[in-house]
Amino acid sequence: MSQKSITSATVQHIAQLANLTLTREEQRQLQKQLSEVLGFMDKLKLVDTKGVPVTSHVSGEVNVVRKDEKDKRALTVKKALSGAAQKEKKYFLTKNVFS
Amino acid sequence: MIEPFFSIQEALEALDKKKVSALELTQACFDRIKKYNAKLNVFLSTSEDEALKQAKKEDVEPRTKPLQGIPIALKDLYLTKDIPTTAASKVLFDYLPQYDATVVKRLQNAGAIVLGKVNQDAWGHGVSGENSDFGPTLNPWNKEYVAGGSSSGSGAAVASGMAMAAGGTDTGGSVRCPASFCNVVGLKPTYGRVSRYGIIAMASSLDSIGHITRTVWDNARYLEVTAGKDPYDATTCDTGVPNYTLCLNNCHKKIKGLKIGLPKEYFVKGVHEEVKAAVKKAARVWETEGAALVEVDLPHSDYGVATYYIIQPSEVSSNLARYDGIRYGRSRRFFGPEAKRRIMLGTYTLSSGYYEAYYKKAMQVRTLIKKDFEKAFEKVDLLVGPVFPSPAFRLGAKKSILEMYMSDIFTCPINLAGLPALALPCGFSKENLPIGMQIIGPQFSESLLFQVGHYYQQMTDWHKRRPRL
Repeated sequence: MSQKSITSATVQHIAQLANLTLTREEQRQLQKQLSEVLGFMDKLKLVDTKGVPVTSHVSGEVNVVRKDEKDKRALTVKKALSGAAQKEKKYFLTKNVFS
Repeated sequence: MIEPFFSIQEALEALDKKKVSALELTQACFDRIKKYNAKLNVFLSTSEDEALKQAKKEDVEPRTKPLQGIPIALKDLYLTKDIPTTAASKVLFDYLPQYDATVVKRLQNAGAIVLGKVNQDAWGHGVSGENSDFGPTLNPWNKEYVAGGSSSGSGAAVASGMAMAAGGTDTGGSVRCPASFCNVVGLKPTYGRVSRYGIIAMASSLDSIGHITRTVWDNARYLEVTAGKDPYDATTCDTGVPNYTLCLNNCHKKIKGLKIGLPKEYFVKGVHEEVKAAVKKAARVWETEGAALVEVDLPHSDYGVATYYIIQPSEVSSNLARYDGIRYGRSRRFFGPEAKRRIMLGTYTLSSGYYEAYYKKAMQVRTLIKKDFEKAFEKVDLLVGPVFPSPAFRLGAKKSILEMYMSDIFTCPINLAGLPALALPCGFSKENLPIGMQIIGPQFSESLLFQVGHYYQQMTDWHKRRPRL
């Protein structure tokens, strides 16, 4: 099974993109596991896909739209907030993203 | 006298003749849950008061509904209003959904009684049930073995008589695998046959909302209720919903002249000899009635797992991005190791510089895999093969991540192609562990799968065997 070489810098970068905080041990484990799994994926390089279209969707449905009107299943503000860890009046509270 | 292993068909008849009440059936299920759940770890939560109240209500109303009074379990990915829904993850440990999934509403409107929510691999990530944040579900046939995943609780609930049916999900084999390991019937419907609205998404182009029952007839009745277009799920199709149980009458007439393909890639070295033998023996049951068995080729089978394990984690990484602890749930640091692994894998394969080499390439190979099946269906009506390369394995047996992922080899290509597949019991190993096979058909061929499966169950009795708990 071929191993791809994933660096620890790559693991840290991907963790940041994925919004995951990893311990040093988790980073070490994931570096090894991702290398092994991605190495296995390299077998797809053997498949000739020249001119082959992508399949992102198998049901064949296209452009399914609905009328632009209020959905009767819309949650009330109170219901929508009911699962929030932190809220204030009618709002979810989140971290400040601008500082 | 309540028979804990009533099929839905038998229970409906007993209910219609007033030999038994919905309340008695529901109470009998809760009695079994209280007796065996601690040993098997099937149910994560139960809603006994609500279920008994609903059962009493169904007993009083005129008997007009297709699943009236039938106690069922639901995989904990299904949102059930005001009933804890965790996806078997500590991230959603205390999450109470504000609404029901469409399928939950349809089942309740059909008179089914929801007993509670069952265990699974967290977020649907797994083939054994061992990735649950709340401990694995054990196989009712042998508690040292896995129940199969990711719908482990669904398979075990039905196999152990705790419920008459259980809702599951199948993204790469997660209904078919526990069905195979637990000696029950599991359907993965055509993609777009059953609404995904309100069911926690794993991989949105692969997720299929399936279910587990004790017989093919039961499975057909359940699909009559769950199938059909849903305006809240834009990927559901307009295709009409047949009366699947009516289609089962005179099913033997369907067998003569049928062409059944056996993919040569599904019977190779490395597949357990007893599994190969059981599936081939099963195919001969149809051959005896006049079907032709044809060897077919699915040339890109070897690339199925690699394709699936690029596309699925990519979509998982996107779907799990919403669990940021702001609107619901807890911090992302509560994700288990497998969830973190798949999020990382998917983020990598979608990231700038790698997207073309991985995700785009996988989507192209997906086209080739889909075409393999289309070509096969030009020659045959159905395909038959194993669900899993072996019967159930011992808890802790799989040593590596890749070994686990490779186990999806016969199931994940069906999800990549969006096809339906019906898993049903076809034998037992020397260690008395169930062996399952799957019947695979073209899109929206569920009626044919049920007819062929129902015929098989009239000629054999594997599905009538019960585990000693």
